[in-house]
Amino acid sequence: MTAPQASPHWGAGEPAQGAGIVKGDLGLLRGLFPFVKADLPVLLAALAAAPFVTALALARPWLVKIALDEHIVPSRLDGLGQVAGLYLAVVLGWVFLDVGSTLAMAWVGQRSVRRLRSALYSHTIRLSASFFDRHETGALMTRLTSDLEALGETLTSRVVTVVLDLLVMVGTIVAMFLLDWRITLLLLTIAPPVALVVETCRRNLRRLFVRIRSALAATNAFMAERMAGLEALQLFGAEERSYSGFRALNRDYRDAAIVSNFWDALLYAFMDGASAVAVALLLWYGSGDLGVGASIGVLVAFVQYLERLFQPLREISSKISIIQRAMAALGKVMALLDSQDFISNGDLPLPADSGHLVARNLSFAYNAHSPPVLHGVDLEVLPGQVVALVGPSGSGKTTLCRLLSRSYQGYGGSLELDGVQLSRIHLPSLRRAMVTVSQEIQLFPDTVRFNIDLGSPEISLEQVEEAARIVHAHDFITQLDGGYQHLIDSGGGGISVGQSQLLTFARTMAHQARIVVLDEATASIDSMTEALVQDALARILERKTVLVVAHRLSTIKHAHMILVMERGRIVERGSHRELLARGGLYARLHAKGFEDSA
Amino acid sequence: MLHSIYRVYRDYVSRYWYWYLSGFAFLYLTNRVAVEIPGQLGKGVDSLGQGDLVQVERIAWTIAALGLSLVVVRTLSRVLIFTPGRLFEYDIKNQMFRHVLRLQPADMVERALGDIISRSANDITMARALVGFGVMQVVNVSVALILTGREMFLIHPGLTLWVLAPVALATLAVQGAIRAIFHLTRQAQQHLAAISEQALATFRGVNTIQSFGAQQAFRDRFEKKNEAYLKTSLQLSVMGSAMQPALAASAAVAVYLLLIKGGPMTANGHITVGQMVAFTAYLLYLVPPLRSLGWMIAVIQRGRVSLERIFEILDIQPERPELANEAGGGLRRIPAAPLGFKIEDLSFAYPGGGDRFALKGISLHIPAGSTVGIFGRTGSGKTTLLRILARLHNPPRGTVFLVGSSGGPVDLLDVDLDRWREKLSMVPQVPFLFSETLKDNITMGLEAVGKAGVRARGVIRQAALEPDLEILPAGAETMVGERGVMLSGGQRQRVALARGFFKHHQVLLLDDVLSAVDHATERRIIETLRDRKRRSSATTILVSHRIGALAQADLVLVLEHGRLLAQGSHDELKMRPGPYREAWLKQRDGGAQGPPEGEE
Repeated sequence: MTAPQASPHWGAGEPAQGAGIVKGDLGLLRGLFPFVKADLPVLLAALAAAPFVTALALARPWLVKIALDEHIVPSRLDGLGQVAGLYLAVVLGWVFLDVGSTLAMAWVGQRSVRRLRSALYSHTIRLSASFFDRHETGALMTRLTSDLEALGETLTSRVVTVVLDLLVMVGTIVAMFLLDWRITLLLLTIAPPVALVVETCRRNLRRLFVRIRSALAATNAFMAERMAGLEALQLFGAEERSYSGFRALNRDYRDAAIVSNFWDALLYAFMDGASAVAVALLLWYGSGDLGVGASIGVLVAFVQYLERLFQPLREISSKISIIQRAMAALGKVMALLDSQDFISNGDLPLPADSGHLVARNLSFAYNAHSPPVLHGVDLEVLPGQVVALVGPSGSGKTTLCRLLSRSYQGYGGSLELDGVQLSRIHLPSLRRAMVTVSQEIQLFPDTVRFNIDLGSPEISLEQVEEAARIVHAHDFITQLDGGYQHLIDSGGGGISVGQSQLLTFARTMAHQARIVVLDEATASIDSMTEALVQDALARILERKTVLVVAHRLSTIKHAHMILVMERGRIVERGSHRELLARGGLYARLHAKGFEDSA
Repeated sequence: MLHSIYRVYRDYVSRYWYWYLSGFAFLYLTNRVAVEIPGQLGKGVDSLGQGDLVQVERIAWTIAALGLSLVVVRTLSRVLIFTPGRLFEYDIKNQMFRHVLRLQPADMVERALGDIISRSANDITMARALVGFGVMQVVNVSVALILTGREMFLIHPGLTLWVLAPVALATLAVQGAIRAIFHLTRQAQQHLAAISEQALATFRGVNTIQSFGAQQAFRDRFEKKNEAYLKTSLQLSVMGSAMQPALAASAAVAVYLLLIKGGPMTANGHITVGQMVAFTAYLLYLVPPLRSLGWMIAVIQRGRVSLERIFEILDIQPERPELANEAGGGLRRIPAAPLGFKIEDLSFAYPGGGDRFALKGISLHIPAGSTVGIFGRTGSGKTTLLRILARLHNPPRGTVFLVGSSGGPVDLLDVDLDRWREKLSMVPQVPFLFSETLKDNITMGLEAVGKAGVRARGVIRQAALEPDLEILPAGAETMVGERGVMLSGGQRQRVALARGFFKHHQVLLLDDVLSAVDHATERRIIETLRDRKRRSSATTILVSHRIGALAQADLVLVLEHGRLLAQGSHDELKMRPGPYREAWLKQRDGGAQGPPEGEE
């Protein structure tokens, strides 16, 4: 066999999301405001301290100038002690204010990020299933962790430093004008080249940072997926191909980062150079070539002011990258927070004796580009009835369940519960009345008990155990280390697939819903356990409304009505006997199913 | 504690010594040039005092020239030192990914997925900052302090000691905070990992959370983790906020001392006015490195914590008992095909499962080239047995042997794991699909051209996927979405089955692959299996609850509570009282009797 070649698609990795920033930076910051609001007094106090911090910082070179020109150079030492003492007082005042405002900023920033993280989490778990179809969970996790981290760093220190920097630079220039306007004008001649370099570097860094962030997101998403599917990779010897896919993404990231290093270094170094050139200009001016000289104290003060002027500019490169990163992160975070892909909530209360489910002329497509998966489905489930959906895979059974559980919306036709449109019923009450057991077994890295009651305060431990007993899960649970307190890890290790499924049944039982939608829930459990579970279901769900998707004919034994689906339509309906007698698709399925097990 | 730093030097950084060495050289040069400027300024001031204007002008030109060369050497020094940081990041991220790819399920028991991803995403970034920025700062601050100190010392040793004293004291005080920062950082990173893990689990299970209206409980749990993280972050901020101004202030206090001590010296003529000016400029030059000292310490502490967290993952030894034998002395060749298995008194408990045995005292023989069915109820050990044969979990030594057409039995633990995986194909109960095209999911990234293309089309037919391809928007090129979300459960299972068929194998392990497919499809697949059995010598082991699928097997094993309850052919077992016969009767009757009548 020739050396395995990787297909061009493998590991190409779709960029998780557009890296572009949707709104302007100011708009983004405005979006941030609600999360900062509660700490606004602290923020304002810290900002109010800024002019004083600046003034104290700018007073220092002036005091040095006085010490030099009036005491040291003319050798008049009697007042030097006072000037130096004043200098020390200014320094101490500055430290006090600076530490205070920095801390206040950190306090505000981190509390805001915490609020934002909570809001983001709460927001995201309300989004609809179709949203999660379009977004990778790994990338969504990045929103809550790395992106918010980038934001937190900025909020806590950088945004404020930038505001302060601006204040310091303006203040410095004003101080320089006051000290000697001619020297200041002369020094401003180097402003245009400095501005040009700053702008060039800023633009390049900004562009590179967008690239870096999206490459990083792609790398993380790729890793998250490959790790989740690790066993499949190992069993099929695809580790090396995965690795080369990963390396390619990682290389994109590295290359962009290395180029950004250059601009970053250039910007930093250029400020050093510009500062030295300014000092040279200063000295040249002092020599009196322009006809006017300057005192030594003025020269020294100017050197110090120059340092103040260039220091923020020198650090601007790292600030730009951090702020750009934070803005890109904020853009993504806000985009997630702005996604209104909710299942619309209704305001009507749940009808008292709910259980009469009616679908009329229901049609649905997952998105505008894909063909419809349901065509004009009519369906009626009477209270207490058990209705079974049967049909070949891909016929639309699962989709129908998803519409009933309101995981998706945007369907044509109508869907009513006791005469009220499903979409108009208050969602939390609907959720309490109707639960869905989906095809995938979903367990959470938490205790067994939590996996059954899902933290509901309305479910007692006795009820949890009772539910587990009904579905025959109690016995295996008590054999686990810690029993109901046993921690299930995220790999589900130590618990078989069947047992996991029993846990999801126990969950369904414990939640006491009036309507239950079971989607292929019996798959993966052997017929013996399945028989027990169905026995339990039959007893418990006797007075409930049930819609069950089943591939096994034994599952639908208890159905009052069987709907046979094919290619998005209901092609047959009736009781088992009627359908058999008709000799259609159901009869064919039935015959084959039975023949197989003989 | 220093160990992780030494290790990163030995294993990674030393590889890029020439970057660092040239970077350090330029960093030294940068500082040489930079400390020259205050000295020149001092001389210029003195020349000014003496009225030597030609000299002043010359010095001005010199300073400008020094400034311009500073741009070049400073740029180079930063690029040369930051680049190996990026190279390190690239290397270690690749290494980590590759390492994780080699880990076996047993190695990962303690590690949550989100935790490992968080280490790869966040901790590596922190470690890179240490290796790039951190290293540069350490060298820069040291060189700047030494060179500046030297220049000042040459002017006036006594005055130098006075003005550098506050700087030294502040630096010492900062040392005290370092340990606290280290521990807090580690704590913060653990909190963040817990947040990652919950976010990941929540988003994966969001259907269930919504359907059960459990948002509030999940929010509460998240809130607790978020709150704990905030607390640690705030403590870290307190440390950080105090450090930076304190260091900058120490330079300002130095200026105060300079005025008090240096003023009289200048007045008394011990030093010139120019030298006094040079001193102010030297102190000014020290401010940026001192300001960044606090930042640098944070970077180093975070980097150290992160390095440890990265090495924790890299240090997990994949469970490969065949390599543990010294120098691979125990490594044995896999016998020639067809392959069978001999299992002798196999008992197995999952790691962390205590004495809860998933399999107990199993002894059996799987003849080479046969088709063997496994039947049993949930939790009976069927999947565990398959996973042991695939060595996703290692059996105890001396319990599972490979038997080939020639040579004696070879302990499964003595064969090279990679070679062994090449020989087998396994389709798990819950298939995992990647967010690639359907075809790539079948070929697992191999390009399906030529022979492989023919093979791919063949297995699509065998897995009864052809009708589905007609419905899917782009046929076999359809992107299946994350975990195959665009496909139905039955379609996912059949894609995985096609994947299993596509891979060359001598042993085929099918774990309940028919659970989510409908009857017509099930029937087609069973025919495929029959057909494949006729044409290939591969040994097939099939776990199923469906008697129809097991009926064609040469041998059926019945497991219960981890023990082998019975074995025999379908015809034998269906007549023998026991769970197999019960199931056979039930599945036969399930269709014959139909649902109870007249219930409406």
